[in-house]
Amino acid sequence: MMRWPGLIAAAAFALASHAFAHAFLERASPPVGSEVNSSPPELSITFTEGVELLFSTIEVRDPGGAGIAAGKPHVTPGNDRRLIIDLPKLPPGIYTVIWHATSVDTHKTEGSYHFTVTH
Amino acid sequence: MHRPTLLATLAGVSLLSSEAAFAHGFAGPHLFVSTLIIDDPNVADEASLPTFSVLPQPSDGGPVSDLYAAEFEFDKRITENFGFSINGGYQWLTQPGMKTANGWENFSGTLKYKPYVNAEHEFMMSVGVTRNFARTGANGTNGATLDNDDSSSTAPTFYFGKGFGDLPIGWARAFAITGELSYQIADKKLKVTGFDPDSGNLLFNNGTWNQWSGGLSLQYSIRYLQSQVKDLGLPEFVNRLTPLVEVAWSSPASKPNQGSTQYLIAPGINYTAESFAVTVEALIPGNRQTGSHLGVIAQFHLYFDDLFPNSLGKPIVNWWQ
Repeated sequence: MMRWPGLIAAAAFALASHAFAHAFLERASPPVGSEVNSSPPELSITFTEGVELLFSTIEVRDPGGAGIAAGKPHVTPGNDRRLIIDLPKLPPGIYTVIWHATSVDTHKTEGSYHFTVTH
Repeated sequence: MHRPTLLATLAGVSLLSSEAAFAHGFAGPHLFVSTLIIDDPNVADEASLPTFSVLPQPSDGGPVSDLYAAEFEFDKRITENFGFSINGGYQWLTQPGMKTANGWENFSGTLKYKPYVNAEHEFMMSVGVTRNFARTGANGTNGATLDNDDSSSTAPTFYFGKGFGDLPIGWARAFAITGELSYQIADKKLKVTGFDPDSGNLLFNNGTWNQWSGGLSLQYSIRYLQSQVKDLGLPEFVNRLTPLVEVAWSSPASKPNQGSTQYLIAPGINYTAESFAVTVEALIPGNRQTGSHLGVIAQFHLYFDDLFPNSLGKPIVNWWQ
């Protein structure tokens, strides 16, 4: 029979060892809602969990709502939490980022935000 | 002594006790967190284990009784959008100058279906039916003191959730509202059976009465603010917080009855991690019929879809795929 301290420890381990779940946006570059002085060469989103590259997307739309020709998403080797796309030179304006992520345990999340290029 | 509390009233219709079928209820980018005194609109694989609460009972100026409860809820999806939940709990009612009454609450079960989610407008709705099973908890003297119904009831319920992402004001987009409205139908109606000439009181059968109940929650998602509106550079711990306030209400809908209109207000905060959530709220009685002093409720909530994604955390119909 498992004693209470053992049971609690087992439960704590079960929670701690399942560090995969829904992938929320933790940080982005350029940051969510930010203004940047010049066109950034790339856009990256760091998620709270690892994501599946093949089933995760990032789309960038220009101030008129048209999609811009950005590169395919890729990840930093050894870090499947950070999704990156290369950007063409962006004229000044407000850009919309729309992302869909599938975490490593197949949970799906989505979101969107804006950033502004001022010069 | 009857316990005319909203806690007891709502327990039978999956509103208060352990009910919280909630969390991981996404409508687009908006997550409706687990709520404690109302049920959320989502259908999920989760458990609230446990929910603790204490609420000083209504008093006419004399000594105050305190009601303590430890409750649970288990939620399971049968298909992607259809599932069931089971609620139960154990209560202790301290009575000044008298022995503490304690015992199990009547168990209740809910079938819930979520037919519509609009991701673009962050809206979700669902419908359900809750059955309160009489005599599955304490009965006799303890059961009567703890206000366990002696006859069963059924409560059709409507649930909804709406994120405010459509608003043009950035910081306000992190708000969301969830709610439910329920009509509880008694199997056996309360009836006057006679008159006690010694006490001057009417005598009743063991039936109960129909009643309306409902509630709303207003939530502010720091995660949504940080990831959809403006990165304020807050620590990840803060991003996981959702301040919220819940309001629950119930009112008798048939006569005769031994109930009263009651309100309960519960401001608090939710912390949602990868596979669990913790929520603590104050319980503020909205009128004298609901309670006499401030109470508190706290819940530990588990997400089985994250803990056991290949077994308990997926719909039953997918277990053999």
